[in-house]
Parts: sequence; structure tokens; C-alpha cells
Amino acid sequence: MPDGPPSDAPAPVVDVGSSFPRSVDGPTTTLANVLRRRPSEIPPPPADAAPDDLSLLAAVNRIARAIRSDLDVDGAQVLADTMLEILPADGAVVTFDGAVAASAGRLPSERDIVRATREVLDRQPGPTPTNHAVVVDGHDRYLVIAPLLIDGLVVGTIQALAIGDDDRLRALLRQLGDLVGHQVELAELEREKARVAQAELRTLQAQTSPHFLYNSLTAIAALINTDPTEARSLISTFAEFTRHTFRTTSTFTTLAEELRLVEMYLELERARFGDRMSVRLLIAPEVLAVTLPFLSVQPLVENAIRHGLEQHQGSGVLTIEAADSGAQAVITVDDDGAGTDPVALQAAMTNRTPTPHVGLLSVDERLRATFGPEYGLEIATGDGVGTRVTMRVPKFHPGVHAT
Amino acid sequence: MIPTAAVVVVTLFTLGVGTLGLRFARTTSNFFVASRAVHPVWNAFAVGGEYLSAGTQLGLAGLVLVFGADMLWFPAGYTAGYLLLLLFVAAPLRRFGSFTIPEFAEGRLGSTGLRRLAAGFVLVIGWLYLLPQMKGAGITVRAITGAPYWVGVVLVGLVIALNLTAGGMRGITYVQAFQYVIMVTAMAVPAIILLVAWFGDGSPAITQPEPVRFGEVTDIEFRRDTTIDVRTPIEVVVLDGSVAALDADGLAMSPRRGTVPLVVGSHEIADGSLIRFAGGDVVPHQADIEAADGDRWAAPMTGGPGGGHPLYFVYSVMFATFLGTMGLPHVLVRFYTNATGSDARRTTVIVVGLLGMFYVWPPLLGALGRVYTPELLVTGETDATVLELPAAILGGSGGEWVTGMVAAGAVAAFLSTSSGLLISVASAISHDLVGGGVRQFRIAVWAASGVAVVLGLGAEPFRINVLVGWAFAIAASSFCPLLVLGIWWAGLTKRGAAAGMLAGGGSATLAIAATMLRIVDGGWAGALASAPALWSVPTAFVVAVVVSRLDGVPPARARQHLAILHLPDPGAVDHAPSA
Repeated sequence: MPDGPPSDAPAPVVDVGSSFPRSVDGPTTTLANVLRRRPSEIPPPPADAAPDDLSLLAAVNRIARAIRSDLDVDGAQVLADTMLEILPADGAVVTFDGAVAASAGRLPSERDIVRATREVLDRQPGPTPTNHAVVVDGHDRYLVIAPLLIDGLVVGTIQALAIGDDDRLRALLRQLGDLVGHQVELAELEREKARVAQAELRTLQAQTSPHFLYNSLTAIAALINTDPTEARSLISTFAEFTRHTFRTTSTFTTLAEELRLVEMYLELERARFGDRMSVRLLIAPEVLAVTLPFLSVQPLVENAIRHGLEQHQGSGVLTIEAADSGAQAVITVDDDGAGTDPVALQAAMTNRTPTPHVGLLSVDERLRATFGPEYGLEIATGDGVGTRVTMRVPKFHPGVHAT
Repeated sequence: MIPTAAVVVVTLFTLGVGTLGLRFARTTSNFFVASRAVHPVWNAFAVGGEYLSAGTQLGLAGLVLVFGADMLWFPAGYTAGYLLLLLFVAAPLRRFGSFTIPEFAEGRLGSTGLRRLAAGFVLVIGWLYLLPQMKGAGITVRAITGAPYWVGVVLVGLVIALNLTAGGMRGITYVQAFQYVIMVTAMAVPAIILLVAWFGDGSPAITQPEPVRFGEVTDIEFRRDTTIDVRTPIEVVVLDGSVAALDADGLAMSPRRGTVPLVVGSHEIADGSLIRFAGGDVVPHQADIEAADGDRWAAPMTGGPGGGHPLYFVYSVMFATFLGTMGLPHVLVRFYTNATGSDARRTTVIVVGLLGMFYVWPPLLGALGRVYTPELLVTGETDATVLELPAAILGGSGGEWVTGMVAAGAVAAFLSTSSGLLISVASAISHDLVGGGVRQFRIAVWAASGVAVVLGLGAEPFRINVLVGWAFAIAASSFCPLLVLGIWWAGLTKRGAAAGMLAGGGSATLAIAATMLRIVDGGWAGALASAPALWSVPTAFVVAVVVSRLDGVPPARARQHLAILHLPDPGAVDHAPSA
């Protein structure tokens, strides 16, 4: 097999992929911290707080669902309605930033609510709800106010209108405030995860360019006098490539699209390499439509050239393979170039420390963030035996659609 | 000799040569060539190759031979199923991106429990559909080599499991497309040759007002204990084995050899007997087969496996086949190869045409079987009709060549279909139920293949096409409601979908199990149980809708999912030229 130096060479061949510790991955760290942060602060639920367990659970579920995407106005309204339903109270209010976001049932004037809310926010209290005397329809009532704490900051309140001073209502409200806070944090976390992946992508876009930019432009410059036609064609390819690479709208793409990017990239690299590099493609047309994170094959190819073929004397072969494998597509990028020290690479990838193989690191991270921890890169390499990088992509993953 | 060689060639091609050859052929340094999508025409051929199974290659002709006109609904339904797939499912699913029904269930309704339930039905349907493939293998190998039934079953189980675990033939489009070509050729060319021979023979009438008669002296070998019903007294010569015949008073006599008169009634023939029937005698029928004489055979609504309720049976077959195609686990997977929703639609249209081109031939062969292979009615082994016909009509080496051709087609049919099914069953186990990677998939392949072989060994008494019909009935009762409602109705909830699947698919499975185990037999109960689709499919739909309504809360992103399913594709991909 001409394409298999990594596998039949005697040098150490390390499979880095399956041994990464999962818990140190970026987003997971945050989640673990949030979950660890507060159990000691949550008081045990009051013994008499469950008039009807089932309807209470259903209500809590409803709130959780409404807030999962974001605590917006609709979510706030669901929250207020549900509070009125499950709390022993005549009215319910949700405020954000000192203003009423939603309300239900009988209520004091908005002025009273805002004033009482301001008092709570000014005092920056703990999670314990406080009572504020108000007048509703000429009757003396209490507005029980619990702050909503998100990451330790008060962002709003939930309030219930009660006839008298009611310990149980206060306890319930406190629990509810806690639940909503956690839920919003979780939603925030979800968005954070997406933002991290986006940022990764942007970093990658920024990192690939300088080196490559310089090389491509010098290669084109060298051709301008000797072969102006070729130079002109390369310039258009260069323009097209940068346009594709820097597009920021899409997170996912198809393998077919990604291969077009690789093609442009290779055309530019070939201007420098000339006949020193040959490319073999073995693509199963069945998996061309598979959806994968944008910029996930091109960095592997770039890594193969930068750290494999470029460092190597004589000519080299780059093989790109995509195969159909049941519920997954298997994409392999293989070079017979210089290879690298597997131990150092494994250490760099496991600890996420700076490494020249930044492209591999980023692709690995985004694959895991998108499809789950078991979908990391598998890398087989050794000094002087080339490198084979394998990625597996599920043909279908909920929520992953090419745009 | 020739048939064996043909079978070996097709098997080898399917296994190694196709895969290896393609590896060399496909290697290129040209990106434009490498990233061209599969053209819809090629994909349609591949769909045809995977879909046409031993059920149609072998079983259909036998069914027509026995029961006549009503059986034409089977090929019509197998084809029409693609029409409904085209109308309701193909393009939206392509846009959604999920190609197994469990994945669709999870992606659309957000429930891993539902995915597991769907995977469970994939196993039921997959294994039930593997039975007729196994039986096809058993009787094909027996017909061409004389080996016992189990040899073919074990062989095909081994071959497909080995091949899949070695990494070969994973739905390679061009290999499957080529298999369609083999199958259609192996059906059309023999059919045309045999039709020409039939004309040359003076076109003996296929339907006559009276019962089928032996055209000449016929020696029949019985491969298992068989009970035959005699309606007109005849006299046979028992050359080997024995017959426990009735005497004139209807009393059983001790087993006899030599010349034995058979009076009206049931006679038991021992396994391994060789019996000579005289030319011109009325053909007795195996006890399970209700004789359909001349006019009755040719007229619709007169009989069939449904017993005394042909109208019910016909409608039930229509429900099962029209709605079941979309629910077969190995069918949807192929549409992943299409780049866009509209490509998926184009492929489906072509598939309908390709299937039509194929299904013309088996009924013709079944009709010829009435004249040339009436002995199959005596042994009940009507699934072997297309394998026996060439020898009966042409004889000699001509017959052997044509048999070889037919056998090659049958091998292509059951290898491709059972590979597709085995992939689906194994990935349902390893991907949806257990969760795991390549190793688990390999284990699952061997386990699933083992189960299929064991079940296949017990499948000999069942007619191939009846087994196929049952797989369709369960698919129609479980997955059709999930797909159709999931794609077209935002109000479907996960509880609704699960309840519908369980009510429809579960009851259909139970009914069929009761029929196979002969718990229910005969009468209206037997008819309802042996062809459940007509009541189980509506049940599934009604239960799914009612439970969803009661449930009230559709999944959070139902509207977005419907938008993904139905909005036009964002972009198209270049096609390779179509041949």
C-alpha cells in the first residue's frame, strides 16, 4: 500500500484520539463549576410545600422549559402565570432591571412594585426574599420579593402578593428564584458553548492566514513575469479562497463544499511545491453530502503540508480519503512526510498547550463540541513516518444542518 | 455446472472485485472528478438493486403460479410504495439529513426513548425481511447443487457477515446499480427465451376452464413429508419411498410402493419419496394450497393466501405494500447519497420506472409455470418456479444456461438485499440501542446474522412472498405513521408517536406471530391475522393523533423542524454525467 507509511513503519505510532481526558474540555469546565458552586446554599425544601406533587412538578417543568432558550418576555409571562398557579398568592410579578417584565393576578400599582423592587436591588441582599407592605384595592397586603441571582449578580426579581406575612410563601419563592437562576445560567452556558466554537473558528481563520498569505503571495509574485496567465489564475483562486475562508455566517458545511476549499488551497500550495507534491483522492460519492463543521478538513490538509511534506526532502504524497461506514463517514488525511514526535503531540493535545499543530487542536475541539467527546481526531504519527489523521463524522446529528 | 459457476461469479463480484476494483477506479488526483455527487439515475439503479429481493426474484412467480391474478397486487404495491415515498417522504427527509428511522425519531421529536423504540422495530422488520432472503438462498443453492436447504442459508449468513466485517460492500452505489442490471437481465432474458420457446411449442393454453393437468409423465421427488389433496382419482407409481394412501372407504392403508391408486382425499407422502405421475392426469395439490382452477385462477378476487376473504386480502396487501416501502430500514438509507431534496425526488421517479421494468417478468414466468411445472403444486415448493422452468421448457444445456442466469440474478438479489438489511439491523443495535463504535458494529453484524440464519432455517415452510408481505405490513403499521405525521404535522408529540408505533406495529407483529405459530388459522380471524395492515395501519394513525392531541405539548422546535423538512434546498451540487 503506497499510502500507508505511518502504519507499517517501525517508529512509535501513537493513537492520541481516544485517550484525551474529557473533563478538562473548555465548556465542560464551566458547567462543572456551576453545578459545584452552590449545593450548600440550597436549603432543604419545607415539609409542607407539596399540596399536589404532580401538578407542582409539571409547573416547575413548564418554567424550566420556558426559560431554557432564554428568559425573555414570553418566558417571563409563563413564569408569572405559573407562579400564580402554584403559589398561595393573589398576584405574581417578574421584573428585569427594575422594570416589570410580566405580571399575573391582582397587583399593586406599578409605581409601588418599582419602588419595592428598587429597595431590594439597592440592598443587594442574599437569596432570601423580603416582605414589603403595599396597598391593593384599599387593603393592606405584602409583596414578597425574591431576587434572581445569575452568577452572583441580581438581574431581576420574582414577586408574589400575599395577604399576610407567610413563611411558607417566602420559602417557596426562594426555591423558585434559585431554580430560575440556575435555568438561566444553563441557557447562558449553551450559548457560551456555541460562542466558544465560533471563537475557535475565528481564531483558526485568523491563524491560518498570515503564514499562508505570505507564501502564496510570494509564489504568485515569482510567477508574474515567467507565467502571467498562471499568476492571474492563482490570484483569482487566492481571492476565492479567502472569501470562502473568512465568511462568518455559517458554522457547518458539507464535505463537497469543504473539498472545494481544500482544492483551492492545494492549488495555491502547489504553486510553491510544484512537482514535489502529488495528491491522491479517494472519495466515496455517498458521503459528499455529510455535514461537518466549517473548516475541518482544510486545516488537516494544511497541517499535513506544513508539518509533513514541507519539512521533508524529496517528493511527497498527500492522500485524502472519505469512506462510507454505516452511520458515520470516515475522513482520512494522510501524508508521507516528516511526521512528528507522537509523545509531544499527545501531550500538547491533551493539555491544550500551545503547539505548532494548532489546526489539529482546533478541529479536534470543534468536532468534540459539535458531535460529542467520542468524535475527536485520531492521529497516528511518528518521527519520519508521516502522519495520518482520521476524523469520524456521524451522518446525522440532531441540530447539525449545513447552511 | 453452469448455474454453480454463475452463482460463484456473481458472489465473488459482489464481495471483492466490486469493492477492490472500485478502489482503484475511484482514486484520482482531480478534485472535480472526486467531488461529483452521484447522479440521480445511478442512485435510482442502486436503489433498485438493493430493493429487489429474493421475494420478487423467486417468490412472486411462485405466488402467481398458485393463486393467480390477485397476486399481481404484490408487484403493483411494491412499486406504488415508491410513489408514496416520493410524495410524502423522500425530499423532506433528505433535507432533514436523517437516514435511519430511529435518527429521524430522535431528531424530530427529541426523545432518545423513541429512538430506541424505533430501533426495536427496525430489528423486528429487518429480521422478518431477512427470512425470505435466507429461504431464497436455501432453495437456490438446493436447486442448482442439490445440497440440503440449510447449506444455502448458512452460506449466505456467513458470506454477508464476513463481507461486512471485512469492510466491503457498504452500500457502494455503482456495485448496487450493477446488481440491478444483473437482476433485470437475469429475469427479462430468461423470460423472453422461455416465452419464445412457449410460442414454438404451439402456445399451450395457460388458462383452461378445467384443472391443471400433467403435460407428460412426471417424476416428482419429495424433500419433506407432504400431504397432498387429490380431487380426481389417479394412479401413481411409487419408485422410491412410500405413500400412505386412503382406500376406497377413506381408511388409511399401510405405506405402499409400486402402483398405488389415489382416491379422492388426503394422502401422506414420506420424505425422500420419488413418485411417477401419468401424463394427462389432474395435478393434485399440496394440502396448504387451495387449488385455483383455470377460470378462477385467471379472475381477480377469487382466492389467495387470505383464504375465503380475497377482497379483504387484496386491500390489506395494498395497505401493507403501498405504505410499508417507506418504513423498510434499508430503503431510506440510500437517499443519503442524493445531494438535495429534489435529487431525492428525481431518483424516486426513476426507481418507479425501473421497478416497473422488472416486475413485468415474474408474473409471466408464474403463468408459464402453470403449463410446464405443475409438479410444484404437488410439492408446494412454488418458490422454485423460476429456477425449475428453464429445465422444464428447454431442457439440456440450454436449460442449464438459462437456469444459471436466473440463479445468478437470485444470488445478486439476496446478497444485496440481505447486506442492506444486515447493515440496518446491526447499526440499530450498535448505534441506537447499545451505542458504540466499529467494534460493536462488527459484533452486532455477527449476532444479527446468526439470528437471521437460525430464523431462516425455520422459514422453509413459509412462502417467500408471504414473508415479505409481513415485513411490509409491520413497517407500514409502525414507521409509516411516524414518518408521515412527523413530516407533515407539527402537532405530533413523542408520546403520540410512541403510542401509534406500539399500537399499530405491536398489534401487527403479534398478529403475524400468531399466524406463523398457527395459533390463529382459518376463518375471519385467520384472514385478519395473516394480513393485518388494513386494520393495524389506521389504528396506528388514529392512536398517534389522539394521544398527541391529549398530550397537548408538541416538542419545542416542531415548527423549525417542519421548516427544515419543507423549505427548498440551499444549494445544489454538480452531477457526474449519467452514463
